[in-house]
Amino acid sequence: MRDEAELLVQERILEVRFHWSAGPYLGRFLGMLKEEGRLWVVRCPGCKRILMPPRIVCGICYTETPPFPNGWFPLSGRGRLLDWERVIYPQMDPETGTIRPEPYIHGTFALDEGVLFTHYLGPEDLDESTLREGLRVEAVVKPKEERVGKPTDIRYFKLVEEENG
Amino acid sequence: MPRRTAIVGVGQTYHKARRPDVNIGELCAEAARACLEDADLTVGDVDAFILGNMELFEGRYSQDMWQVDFVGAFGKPGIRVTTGGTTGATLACVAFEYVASGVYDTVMALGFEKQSEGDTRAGLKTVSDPLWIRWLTTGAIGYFSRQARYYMRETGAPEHMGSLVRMRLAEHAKRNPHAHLRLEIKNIEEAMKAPYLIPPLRQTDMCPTSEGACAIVVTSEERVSKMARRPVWVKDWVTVHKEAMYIRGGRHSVEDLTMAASKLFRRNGITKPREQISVAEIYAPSTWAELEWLEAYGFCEKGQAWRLEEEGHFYWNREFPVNPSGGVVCTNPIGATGLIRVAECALQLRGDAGEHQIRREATLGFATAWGGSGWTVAVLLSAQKE
Repeated sequence: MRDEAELLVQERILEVRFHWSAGPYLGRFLGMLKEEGRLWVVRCPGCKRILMPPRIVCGICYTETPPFPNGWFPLSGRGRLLDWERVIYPQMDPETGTIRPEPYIHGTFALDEGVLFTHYLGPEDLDESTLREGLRVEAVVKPKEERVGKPTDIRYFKLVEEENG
Repeated sequence: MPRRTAIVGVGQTYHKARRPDVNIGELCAEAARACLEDADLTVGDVDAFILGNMELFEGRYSQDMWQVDFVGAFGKPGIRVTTGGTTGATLACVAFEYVASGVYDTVMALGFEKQSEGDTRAGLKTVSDPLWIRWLTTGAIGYFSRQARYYMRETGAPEHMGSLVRMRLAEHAKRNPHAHLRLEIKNIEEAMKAPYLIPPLRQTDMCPTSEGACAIVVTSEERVSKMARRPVWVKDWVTVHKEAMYIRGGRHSVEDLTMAASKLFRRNGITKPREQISVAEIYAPSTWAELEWLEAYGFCEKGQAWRLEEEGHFYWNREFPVNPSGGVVCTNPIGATGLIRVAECALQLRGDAGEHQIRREATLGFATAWGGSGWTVAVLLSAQKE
């Protein structure tokens, strides 16, 4: 077995730029998020499930969905905590290549209209002992001047009081 | 009517976290030559080559072209397969299809990975849509911590179960000369000292990044009769595709595993999987996934796998051996990992697995691969032609 020190290993760093087309469905969804701060979705005309984000066809029944605004509607941004993970391991942010500050909580939320969404739970809700399935949550949206048309225009979800009635 | 197809040779490199002693081509040559030697063939006997690895890990385009000279494929037909975590098993399936179709008689499938040469975590983060949910991804660790939580909550499995699975896999890996991680774990208390990645997932619950390669040679029934080596017959295989984020909104689901196994079992008359199948080499990237997925494949009822694990049921010398090689949690050169499952099953059915040879009679073997965000390949191998 040769000594590793004798062996040649060369290092390079590559920087690559990408330009991704969002298309008219996802593009409109992100555009409306930037414009209004709301999540606009479409119901599949075939199997009636909600597509979030909207796509040109339903991935389950392959029915074509109508272009904006036909049949599109905004979600309330409210729902319930379904599941979560408390991330304590240093994770790379794929947007920047830097390490995200931890801990943070990554949640799955069942929105009131019957669609699932994953996002962060806010910094005020980091105490895992207070979390349980079914807690009421609400999207915290960035102010309009900070919104750029990315899912992160929603800053995070936060726990809110149960409404009466 | 497809032709009967058999695996007549397998070859693996040894695996480590880094193999700076060889370049990628030399790594592939190591597996190809071991495979040809095992099959008692020369490259002249091989009609086509299927090569594969992960798309983005080593930063090289057209890897199949790069490896042609090293595996003896010069001037011969073949394609590259790169289907993420399932790559290794898909390589095998394509080789089966090349031979079963009658187009080629003898085909080599070879998978490899050299993860230290690039950035596996950066590569894996590109698995989700950059305009939709990539910003949130936590890669395999995030997915499998959520899976572990889900399994604990749904089945009542206690937190030490992950470590108990790891103790079995560590015992298996010690017996397998090709395994990468060979941890000496004395008892459950020691196993539970491993640090958390994301609770309840510990470092020892998760697969490593390994470097290595694996190859198999597949041939037709007509060619088998001319070969000395004991063939292992390819009974059937199934692939199921799924994209999880758009359909399930990130909710945990194992429907792809169930769809693959139920289809495979239904068309092969498997009604009591743990009795009829002698050995399972399943691609489970974490200890907790192994438990849940045994249930998803139909080997036991929901919530039963961890109880069987507690009884030691899945050890190499017990009733239903699961991952006698040590599994993915001990060895994970991703592009080869699924092919290692198939190769290890073949060794078991031949009776050539050495120290980790199962004790029950090896008649049928079940090998799988899985990839983000929800693909499954399932393969059924048989010791008998029938």
